[in-house]
Amino acid sequence: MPNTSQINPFVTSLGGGLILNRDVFSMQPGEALELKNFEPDITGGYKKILGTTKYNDNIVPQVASSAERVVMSAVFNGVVLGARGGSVHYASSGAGSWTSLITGLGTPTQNYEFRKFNFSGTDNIVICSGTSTPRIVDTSYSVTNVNATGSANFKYVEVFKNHIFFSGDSSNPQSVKFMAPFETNDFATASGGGEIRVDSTVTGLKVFRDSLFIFCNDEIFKLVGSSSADFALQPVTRKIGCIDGRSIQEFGGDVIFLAPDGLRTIAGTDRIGDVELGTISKQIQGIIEDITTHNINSLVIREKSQYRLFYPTGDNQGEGAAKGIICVIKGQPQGGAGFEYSELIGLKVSCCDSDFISSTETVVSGGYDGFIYQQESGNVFTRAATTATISAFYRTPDITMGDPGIRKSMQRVIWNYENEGNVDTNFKLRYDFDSPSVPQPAAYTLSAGAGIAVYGLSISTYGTAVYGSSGANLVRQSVEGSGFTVALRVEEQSTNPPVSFKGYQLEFIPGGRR
Amino acid sequence: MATYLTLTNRVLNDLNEVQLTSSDFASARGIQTSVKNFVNRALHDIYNSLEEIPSLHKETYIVTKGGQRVYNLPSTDSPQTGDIAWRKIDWDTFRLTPNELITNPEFTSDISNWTTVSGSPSYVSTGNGRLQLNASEVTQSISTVKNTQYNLTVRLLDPSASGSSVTVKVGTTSGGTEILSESLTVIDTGNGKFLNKTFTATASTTYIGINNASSDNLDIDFVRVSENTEVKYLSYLTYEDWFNRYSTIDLQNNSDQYASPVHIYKTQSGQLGVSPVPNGDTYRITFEYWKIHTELSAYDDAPDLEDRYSDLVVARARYYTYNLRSDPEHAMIANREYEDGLKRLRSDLVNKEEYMTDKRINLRYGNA
Repeated sequence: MPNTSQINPFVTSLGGGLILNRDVFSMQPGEALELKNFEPDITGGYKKILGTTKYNDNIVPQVASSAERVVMSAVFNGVVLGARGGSVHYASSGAGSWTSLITGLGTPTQNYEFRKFNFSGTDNIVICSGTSTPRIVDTSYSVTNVNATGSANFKYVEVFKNHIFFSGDSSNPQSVKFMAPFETNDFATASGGGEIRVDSTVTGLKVFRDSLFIFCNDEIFKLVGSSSADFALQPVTRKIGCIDGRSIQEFGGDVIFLAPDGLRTIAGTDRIGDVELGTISKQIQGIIEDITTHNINSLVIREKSQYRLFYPTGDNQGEGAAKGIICVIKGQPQGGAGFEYSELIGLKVSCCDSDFISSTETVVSGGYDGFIYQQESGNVFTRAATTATISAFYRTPDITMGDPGIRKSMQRVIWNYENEGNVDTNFKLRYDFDSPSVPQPAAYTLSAGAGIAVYGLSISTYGTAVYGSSGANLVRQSVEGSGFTVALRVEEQSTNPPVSFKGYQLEFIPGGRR
Repeated sequence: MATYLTLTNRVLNDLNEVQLTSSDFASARGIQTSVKNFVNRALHDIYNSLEEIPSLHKETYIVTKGGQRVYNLPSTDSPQTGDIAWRKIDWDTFRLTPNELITNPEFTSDISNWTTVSGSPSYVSTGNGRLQLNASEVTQSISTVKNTQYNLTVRLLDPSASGSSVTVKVGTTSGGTEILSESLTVIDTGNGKFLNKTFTATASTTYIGINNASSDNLDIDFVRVSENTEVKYLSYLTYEDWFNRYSTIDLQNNSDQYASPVHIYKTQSGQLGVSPVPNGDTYRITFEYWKIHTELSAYDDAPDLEDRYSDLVVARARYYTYNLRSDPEHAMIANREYEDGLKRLRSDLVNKEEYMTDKRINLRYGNA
């Protein structure tokens, strides 16, 4: 039996997400220095993200120019509403054509805001374009123009305590107007409508529990009460605002929004009186500082406890360079829940929404190319005429394994990952902070055996696959090289179904101190 | 063959370090660079531990010049192309042979330096390279001394067993037979036929020619011409001995003292001294030496050691690498492996079979 007494194991469970604000000595080995197109997996580890497919094979009809981007993609009534060039259309998934719904909203200057409500037993969606008065669409695709006295070209809309609230009128940016209870075209005070003014430009509205939160550039208020008779405006903070209302989402029992200093939660801000602790994105502050306000969008994937923020930098930015942030709330090993982050690269989202169609959560996003795509679908990024491989990277911290002063002569890396199909992934060892003076080994290949039994999977061969097997693998890979610190970098650039990395073990022989 | 790349990678592999490829060999870094250096250091150690390693052995010759007493010992491409700087001279191997007067006498790789008189002579690689004649004739002029005797040796082969003949000509004109004309025919087909002739030169330029008038292929394996003098052993003297016994003669400015060399010695400046001073340009002093090994540089450079001793290089390089890595335990193991291997190398390559011999000379010619 071979003598392995000199070999030291170092076991790591993956978790913690992308950490960019700590030194490698204080980072946990399961955290990531680079996590691109991997998402923190709520079942543990990091999983490569799914791709996109066209929600509808046809492009959303343009109005004036083929360069018009999609400014609204809303899941409603089992279909998706798509807006482009001042017109709104709807279509089912597949190859069916788009049906025109609304026209003449004017040349878009921003994404359309919308809220779904049901005052009368029929689902409705109210759409604010910012260039025309709001429109309400019901399940029969009947359109109503909200043009009663008091209406304007509102940008923001929210439904709170049976009232529809609007804001974002460019001539009255501090104004928040609401219609009478259960009314869809009546702002009259006598009916129960009204107006509230705050002392800053409103950037978004969001209902959370029993309050309507009014986000401004540099302040946040909440409206409490249930009617015009008892609506009361209370300041939440006068120090922090929201830089873009389309970053606001209810997520993880909280409201998350993008403040100038990063992502914050309303509950956190409210609870602690707006101090530094309210920020939940300090670990990716470097990325936050790169966010531009050209067109920020966000959505929530409920089944993954995931919040996605997209921030393309301009109309001419290449699709492959467009970035986003993934934020996942998941249980932590030490108890409680925490936020974990990763980066999205290669998805240029113009607008987005997620909701249920036939009890299936459907995530859609409009593109700058005029198509509407379905996220969480397929294993590649679908473009207008092509597809792009999803390049996913994960890099561990530079691990000292307790003593940065001794050389670790690496012997093996044992990966634990869960695959849903073929695996064709590379990983590299990087020694001494990727020092150019240290030999760095070439990439090693990870590939699954044929032992897993997944229905429809080509490698699940009859007679070879084990019935009931999970697809979780322990893969041993002999490696070479040595260094005082060791890091792993996974490079997943295949079109295989996503693989979820759960942990790894480093096996090394401690060497001298030279 | 174990190249520099192979040896380096074997050490790196033993340490489980990242190996090199031919493309990144020159840009090696860190431990790779150290191991490259250690491989050369290991080779130095081996070569410096042993003398007379057969793979470093070479033989060369110096052609004397009349009146010149001291000659340089081998360096790169001197005195002959392919020579390397010497590390050790075998002073017991010096012998005086007549100088070969034919240029390209063996047709090793071509038939250059031979002039076509007629037809289309060609080169064939059969054997160690031959001149093939078929209805053709070649000649070469050599410098000779009038009234001096020369030996001529020719070997003829008849690959097609045609029974045809060549004519070996020695004359004072190209293709001429003023001095000698000899027909040569292969009788024992497959074995070839030798011609040994002595001729006396009648001019300062003599032409050696070979003619095959038939349309059959006849191959000439070699044509050798040298002065008709005997081969003799040149005895070694210490410098002090030469100085005490012969310097007063050799250092005279008197050509009457010049003669066929009898002794050789090593000067204090590391050159070859010849005594007596040669009386002509026609002597060839042939000797053997061991060259200085060359450091490995390019990835495909190979050491002079045979492949089966590459483990020795690897063990020694590993010893240095483990020392670098502060691993004395493994360094000791590697060093022990090296020392054991070195003993085997010495036993295999350097130790010679000896027998008892007595070189004393009895000068008394009788009983005491």
